[in-house]
Amino acid sequence: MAIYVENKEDPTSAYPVQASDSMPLGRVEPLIAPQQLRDRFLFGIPLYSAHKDPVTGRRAAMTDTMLQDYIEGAVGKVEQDAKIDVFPVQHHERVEFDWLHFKAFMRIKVKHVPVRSVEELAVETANGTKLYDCPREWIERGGLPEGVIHLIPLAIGMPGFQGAPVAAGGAWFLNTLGGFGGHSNIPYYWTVKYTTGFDDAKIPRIVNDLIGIEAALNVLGMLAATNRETSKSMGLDGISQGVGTPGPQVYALRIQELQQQYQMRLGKVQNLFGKKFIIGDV
Amino acid sequence: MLLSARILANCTSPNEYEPRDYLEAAEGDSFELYLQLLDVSRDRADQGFYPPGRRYIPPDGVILEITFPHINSAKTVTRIAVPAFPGDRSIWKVPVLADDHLTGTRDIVLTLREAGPKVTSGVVRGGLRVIPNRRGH
Repeated sequence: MAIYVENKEDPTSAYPVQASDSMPLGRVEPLIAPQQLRDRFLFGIPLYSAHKDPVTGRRAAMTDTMLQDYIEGAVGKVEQDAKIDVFPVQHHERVEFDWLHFKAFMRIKVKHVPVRSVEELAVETANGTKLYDCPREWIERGGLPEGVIHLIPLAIGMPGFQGAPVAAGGAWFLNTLGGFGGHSNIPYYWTVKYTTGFDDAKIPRIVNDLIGIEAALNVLGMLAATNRETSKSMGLDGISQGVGTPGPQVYALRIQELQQQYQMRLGKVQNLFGKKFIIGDV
Repeated sequence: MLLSARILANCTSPNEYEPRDYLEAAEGDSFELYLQLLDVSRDRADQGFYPPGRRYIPPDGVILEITFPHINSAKTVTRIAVPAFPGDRSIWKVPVLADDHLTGTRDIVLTLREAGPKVTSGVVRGGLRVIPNRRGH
C-alpha cells in the first residue's frame, strides 16, 4: 500500500470525465458480479455442459466461483485492450527531457491513464539519486485524465516556489533548463510517480460492460465446446428419428454479437481517456 | 492449510445463515460482516464440493485481523474480528462503520495470529461490494 502525503489529486471525477459533481446511478458501480454477468450477457443460457460427466453421470455446472474467475481474468484483458488501468495502480515512470516540451511548460505524457494523482515529479540520476523535487504547486492537473502533466511555475509567492534541490546536483538541474550544453533531449530525466485507475474501485458502467462481455465470450466459448455432436439419429424396424443441432457453433451468433459490442464499447472507452489515437512528436 | 472465508448473510446462529460469495451493501451503511473461516485446500471444487472449502476452527486464543485494503494506506481499514457465537469458533464477525468510507469492490484480507509466531493469511477476493449512492466523486 502506498502512502499519499504530498500528492496532487485530480479534483474532478475519473468518470464522468472531469465532472465536479454527478449522481452515481447508472454511471459507476462495483466490479460486475457473477449474477450481473448472467443477467446482462448470458440471459437464458443454461450454464451447464452439454454432456454428462462419464463418472458422476451429471452435467458440470458453471458455478459463480468460475464466473468470478472469468471476470477477474477479463479485467486484465480489458486493461490491455483499452490501455487503461481499471483498479488503482501506482506507477513509477521515467520520462525523457525534451527541450521542445520544456518550452511548452514542460509537457510530460505518461504511459498510463486515467491519472488520478501525481505523488512525485522529480529529476533523478540514473542511479536513483534525487536531484530536484518539483513543487506540487507547479503541477497542472487539467490533462491528467489523458495522462498529460504540465509544469507551470506561476505560483510566485507561494511556499515552495523555489522548488527543492535535494542534492548538490541541483545546479545541474538548473543547467539543464538553460539548454544543458545544447542537448535537446535527455533520456529518462524525469521521474514521475503517479496513480491511475478508478478511485475506490468505482468502475464506469461502460468499462464494466466491457469486462462482462469479455467474460461472457469466454463462458460461451467454453459451453459451446461441450456441444460436440451436430446430429443424432435412431432407427428401428421402419421408424426412425433424426435430430440436427449446431454442435459447437451453438452460440456462434451470440458470440458474434458480443464481439461487435465489445469493439464498439472499446473504441468509446479508448476515446474517453485519449487512447484512441497515438500522437507523438517527430 | 489454505485459509479463506465464506461470507455469511442473515447469520443469526451457527445453524442459520446464507453462504455468499460476496456481501453487498450501500455506501455509508454500517453493518456487521459475518465470516466463516475455511480451509480451501480441503473439500475442493474438483472433488465435487460446492461451495468449496472445509470449515476451519482455529485453536483457542487466536486473534483474527480483518483488513479491507486500499492502494492509499490512509484509506485501508483494519479491524479485529470477534467470534460471533460462543459455541462455534469458525464464525467471526467484524463491524463495518459508516465512517469507514468503503466503496466499490473490496478484497477482505484475513490474518490469523496464533500463540507464538504462527501467522496464517488468506483473502476473500472481491468479498465486499459497496454500491456507490452518493453525489460527488
